[in-house]
Amino acid sequence: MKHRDIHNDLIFYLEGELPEERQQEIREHLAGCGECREFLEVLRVSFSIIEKEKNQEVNPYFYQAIKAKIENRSVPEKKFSLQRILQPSLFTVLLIAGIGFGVLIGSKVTENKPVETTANEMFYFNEIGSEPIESYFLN
Amino acid sequence: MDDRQFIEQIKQGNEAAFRQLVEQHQKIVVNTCFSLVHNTDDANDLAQEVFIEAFNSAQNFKGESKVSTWLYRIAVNKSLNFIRDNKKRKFFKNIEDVFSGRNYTNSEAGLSSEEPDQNLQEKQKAAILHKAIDSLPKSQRIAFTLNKYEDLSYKEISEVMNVSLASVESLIHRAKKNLQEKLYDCYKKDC
Repeated sequence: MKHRDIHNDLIFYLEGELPEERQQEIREHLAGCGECREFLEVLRVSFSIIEKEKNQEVNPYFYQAIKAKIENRSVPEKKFSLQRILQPSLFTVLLIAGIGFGVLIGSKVTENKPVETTANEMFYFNEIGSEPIESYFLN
Repeated sequence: MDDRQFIEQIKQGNEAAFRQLVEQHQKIVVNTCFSLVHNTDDANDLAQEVFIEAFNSAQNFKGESKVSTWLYRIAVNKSLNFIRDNKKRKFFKNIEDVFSGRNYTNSEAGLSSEEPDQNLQEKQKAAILHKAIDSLPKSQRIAFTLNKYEDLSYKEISEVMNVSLASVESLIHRAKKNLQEKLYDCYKKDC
């Protein structure tokens, strides 16, 4: 239980945010607990990474880049908004045209292949059965 | 020249004043962006966008807060929007990769097999830390990064985030606890 409690406070111990009494208690525990010592090292390494990352390099042409971007953007603003309207409109027209074309093709297929065709074929096939072939051979 | 006069000059189109604003604050803005996006190039690009927005919206600056507080706010918002958009891009890219049958190699993921072991280990440790920070809830992440990367006081953070001092204390306390848990999970799994 004590180990778990101390383990939960390790990050605050590392930051020196605990009352001195508690800091001392943890120090004593660390002297005899390898696992807590090892994990404290993991935390220490992680926080040292933050310290290293604090000083980011700034692009030497930082201001020039900002200036160029501001100048480039001030002109084509209207063109961009026009594209934003035209693009969805074009997609909508294409979508409607696609659906219309699909419906048209579908209706043509239905017209060319009526249900009766199958019935006629079957009727024709059945007609063979009623052909007077036997009487032909007999004759 | 105080902050209000500074912004007044920028509103009037004084380029020298804008340049001074950029040069005085570029480091803190780049650092803030980096603390959230964890990539130097992206942080530099975002920081440029922050100053462009500051330039365009100088009219709206009422002088109720410090210029640095205002820039921190823009930087945090821009970075969070970038992360959100990046997630969407990655999602669609993953779908595209699945359909095209593309696999990432180490070199494409930024890890070279020829890199010295120590450098690679440092990169891995940094990646674990970044992942743990990224997994924190948004408010905790903002408060924690402003405190740790920018060394801002709790009061300054409360001004940037527009919350009470007690909220900042609580956010940072919970952030550290959560971060410890995430790092412990990783330590246990030996990742």
